[in-house]
Amino acid sequence: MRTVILVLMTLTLSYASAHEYFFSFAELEYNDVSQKFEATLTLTTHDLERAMNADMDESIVLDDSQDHYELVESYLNRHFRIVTGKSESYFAIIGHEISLNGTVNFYLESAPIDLEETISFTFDLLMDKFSNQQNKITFYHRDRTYTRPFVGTDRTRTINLETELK
Amino acid sequence: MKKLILLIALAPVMVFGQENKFAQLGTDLPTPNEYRNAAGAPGHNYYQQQADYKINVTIDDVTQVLTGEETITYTNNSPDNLEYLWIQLDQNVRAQDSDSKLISIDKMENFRSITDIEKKFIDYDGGFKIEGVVSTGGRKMEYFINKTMMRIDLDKPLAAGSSISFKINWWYNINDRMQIGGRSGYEHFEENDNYLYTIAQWFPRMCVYSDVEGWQNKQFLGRGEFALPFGDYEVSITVPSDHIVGSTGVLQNESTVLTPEQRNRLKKARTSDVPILIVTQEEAEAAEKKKEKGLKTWTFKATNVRDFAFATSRKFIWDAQNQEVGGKNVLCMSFYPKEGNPLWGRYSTKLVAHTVATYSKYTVDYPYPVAISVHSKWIGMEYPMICFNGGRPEADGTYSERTKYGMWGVIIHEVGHNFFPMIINSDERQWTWMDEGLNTFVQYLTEQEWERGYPSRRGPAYLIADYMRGDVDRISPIMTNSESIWQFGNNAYGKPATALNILRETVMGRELFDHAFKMYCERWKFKHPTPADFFRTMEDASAVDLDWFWRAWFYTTDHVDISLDEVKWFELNTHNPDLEMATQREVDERDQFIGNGRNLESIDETVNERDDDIDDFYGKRDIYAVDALHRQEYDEFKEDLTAEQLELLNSGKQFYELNFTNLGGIPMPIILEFTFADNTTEVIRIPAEIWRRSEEKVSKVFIFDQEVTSISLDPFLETADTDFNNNNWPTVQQPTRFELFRRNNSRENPMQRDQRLRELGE
Repeated sequence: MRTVILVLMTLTLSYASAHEYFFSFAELEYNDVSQKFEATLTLTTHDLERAMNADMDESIVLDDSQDHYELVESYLNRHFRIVTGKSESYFAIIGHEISLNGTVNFYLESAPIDLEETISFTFDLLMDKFSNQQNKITFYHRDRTYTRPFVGTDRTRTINLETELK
Repeated sequence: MKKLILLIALAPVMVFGQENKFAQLGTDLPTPNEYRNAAGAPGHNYYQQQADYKINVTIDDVTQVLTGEETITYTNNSPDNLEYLWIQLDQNVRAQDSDSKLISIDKMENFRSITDIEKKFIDYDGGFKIEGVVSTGGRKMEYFINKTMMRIDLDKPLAAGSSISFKINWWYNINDRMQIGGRSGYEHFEENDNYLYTIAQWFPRMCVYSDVEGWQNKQFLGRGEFALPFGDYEVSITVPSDHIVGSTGVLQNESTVLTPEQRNRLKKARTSDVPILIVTQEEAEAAEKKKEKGLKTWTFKATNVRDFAFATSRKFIWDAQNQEVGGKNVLCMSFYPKEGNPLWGRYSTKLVAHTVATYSKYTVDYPYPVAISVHSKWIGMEYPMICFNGGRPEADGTYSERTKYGMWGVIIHEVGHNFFPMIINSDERQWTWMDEGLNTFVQYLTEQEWERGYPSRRGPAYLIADYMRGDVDRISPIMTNSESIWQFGNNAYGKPATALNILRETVMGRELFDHAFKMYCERWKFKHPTPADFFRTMEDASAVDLDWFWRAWFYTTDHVDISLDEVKWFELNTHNPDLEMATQREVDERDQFIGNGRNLESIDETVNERDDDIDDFYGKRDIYAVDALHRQEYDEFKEDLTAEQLELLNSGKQFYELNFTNLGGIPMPIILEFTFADNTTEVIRIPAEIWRRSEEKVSKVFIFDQEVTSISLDPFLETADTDFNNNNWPTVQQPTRFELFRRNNSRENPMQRDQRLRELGE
């Protein structure tokens, strides 16, 4: 079946660098009481700015304010998704911290969602902009730690809580 | 609960299993020989080739075409006769038929925006257009181009110890770096229609021929950078007459390209310890608008360099200062457009000077007469004596703090590359970590000397934990070819820099490490080192066996996760019945089932309390009572002990058996901080060799004069441990970043808090 390409208009030019970082990490936990996922996304600040600039036709410079939360939240939710059972997460930004070493942490909380045995993670943040981007999830759940790496050719991974150990 | 020690004589049991991380690495390294010896130094017959260049190059500022002609004189210092020569044509990575385009992996997700699609249709005719290769006598020479390499076939082999000279003419379309990307190219400024050129990989360059690779002719695919022989250069650069050129080497014709005023300022800068402007912003802005006609030729000479790069623009502001290194003067310079200010005028040249001085302390004295930083939006890229660095303020002249630190970091890093690989000339095409990793390590040291508490991105051990933990499916050992590395930045920059930091701070100590590291740099300056040369020198110069460290950190994807599994607490059995019985009573009475206490209150009288006839001998005896027989046995026991043994027995020493598991696979020193009942602390450092026979589990007994209240493993975050939830006794569950943020952060920002503080009258 033919699929029509969805083209987003953008005015921003490509980014090129000889020295690339290209990684981001998600640290994730499921809060059994609130039944929400709590996540921290750590990524390179200027990578995110450039990816969003290209993606949204918006010139975004991140600072300590919450001015761009709506746009960032929309972008993050497109590239960091969790499906468990028939439910899909939607994350809200509850805060962020920009480090002077060039990284930014976004603190996210999902809407309440039931946690099923099998969890599917899609984590292709920045991959549409940087072909060498790699991401990694570390999921802490009931004294167990699960990690999954993500690359451009492998953007969705699953974890089965019953069958997998650390 | 503490336990009494049961003394059992155990026969030592040793199990020698299969090869472990402590096995000798020497069997896996190349065999030492006359070119590279077993100590990690150049051997007694070490050789390297020499490639000298005389080049004329012209930049056409209208068409953005570079045209060049070069005479290469190649000297064969090897013991071999060479039937052919290999030349690198790195610009061909941008040729329309380049393999680099074909081997990049695409998915439809990469075509989300119109610019993503446009990029696939950019009509750029890149790559070298070779117009001819001729002998110095004008005779055509046979050559064959294999993508990014060119083979020149010789009529007769170039004999050992002899030289050959030949000429190449070429041209190419300079790439628009902002559209196409790249380490070099041009940036176009729409305002006044001006260009800023940063030019590199711009001429056909000799490949390295060495004892290790023969001809290094691995194709340039875009990531694995360069392997180049040393040589002397004389380069004449023809550009528009109002351009300012910054270049590898020393300017030979100041009088024809600079104004008298500029020459006076340059003279002043040569003895100044603060930057002096040679071209001011006002002058640069005037040049941008005026655009003079005509051309000028700038001539530079560079001695013993592995490459040559330059930058040219009429937009350049130019400043310079002197930095003395090892009794020699180094002219530190910066070239930047007004778009770089105010950051560049304030910091760039000072950073160059600081970097040159600090790296010289840890490696070798900077040997070149100049060191240059050129402003180049976004990228960071290095060449001998010159580098191109990002860090551009906003259009309104403001900048964020992170932009400032980003600029500082990239300038230190790229100027630092003068040492790795420009001077200590490793093969970047094979091993990215040998220059990026070592350079990132010294970058960290240099940043910390620039500003106390500098927020370095890489270096401290704990910063690599996220990358190293967990699923290793998509990470590579450090010892991986440059083109095949997963997670390039963490693998080739972060992990080796961290590893060296751990060696310096934890495994070897600063004195031993610094001596060995400097020895490596001194041995291999202006030479071609390999990984084995580095591994061997670090051990040879320090007398520290690091085979386990190289094997674990450089050859595997294992991570650090040592778990403090269990703590057992013991005291010595003194055999003194007065002490031991009292202790036993205390222990028995302390650990009581809750029902016992309640029964004492709820049961007024038990049967045996009411009826004296119930309790027999056993019921009436006091099991904690000390009698004469106990004392007699104790006296007999003491007779067999010396006074010293008795004193030891009564010393009240506390014994703790700690059990550890190496979950991550990398054996590391075990660093423990004990906190005692009186709140004092003691740090004990156990070398990694404790794991040498048992890589998975070890135990260790510690003896103290007083009780331990808590134990912390890796308390100073120095081993890159990836899981701190198993590092404490009693157990401490580490909060996630999210929990920390929620705990520490109220919704008010610092200014709102400050407002509240003022309202309090503080």
